Amino acid sequence: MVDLKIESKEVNGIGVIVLEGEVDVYTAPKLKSRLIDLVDEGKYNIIIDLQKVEFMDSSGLGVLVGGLKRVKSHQGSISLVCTQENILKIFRITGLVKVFPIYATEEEAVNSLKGQ
Amino acid sequence: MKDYNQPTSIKIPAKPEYIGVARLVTAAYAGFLGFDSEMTEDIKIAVSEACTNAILQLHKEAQPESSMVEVLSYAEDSRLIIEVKYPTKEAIPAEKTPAQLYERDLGMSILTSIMDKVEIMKSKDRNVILKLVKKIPR
Repeated sequence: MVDLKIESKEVNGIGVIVLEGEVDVYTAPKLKSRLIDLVDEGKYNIIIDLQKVEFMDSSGLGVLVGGLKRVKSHQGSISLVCTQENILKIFRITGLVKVFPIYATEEEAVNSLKGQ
Repeated sequence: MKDYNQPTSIKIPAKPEYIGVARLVTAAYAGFLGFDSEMTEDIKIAVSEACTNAILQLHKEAQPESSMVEVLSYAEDSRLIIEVKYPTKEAIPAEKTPAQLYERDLGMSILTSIMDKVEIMKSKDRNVILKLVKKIPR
């Protein structure tokens, strides 16, 4: 059974979403809903940790792009944490590596946002 | 390439939660044919994109929930062929390209990047077939 675990936390006022499992057309709505909740809570700078994501297709990318539009309307940002080649590949293919800042660790992503 | 030339097929209900099953079956078949883990991951993505497209089209056409999507995999001329087949009510003009028929741009750009060839055709029994081709590594 395809499953996606989503955990949210706050680090230095930044909303962090940690994903574990598979992001496809079945599970992507759960991620979309969590992103909307965070924005509704006033968190416009969000880090999404993809290190434990085993699979992602364009449904997941679509939700991330939708989330980015949402936070950008509040001058916010979405940063990603990912070092997995199979996940990074679809960001490269679609050109989204130029749209999302991608870091190797959550700490790097937090430090980068703090520095802005 | 190992001798796994017999076709493998799986029919899944047109529901998003079943796409993972089609991914796993096709990935296992690709592994039999000699695709390495990186290429197998690509094939999983391709199957996921094609099945997602099929299910979204079926929902868009308000086809019954009992509709099925078939994923047929076989080896032909040193290539893996994956056919994702689903029923349609709409006519498909022959001159349209997969990109024109495939509304999800991100999905199409991923599909055409990771597979060697992507074709859309219509069978005599009013099914759409999205045909994906990938050369089998030696």
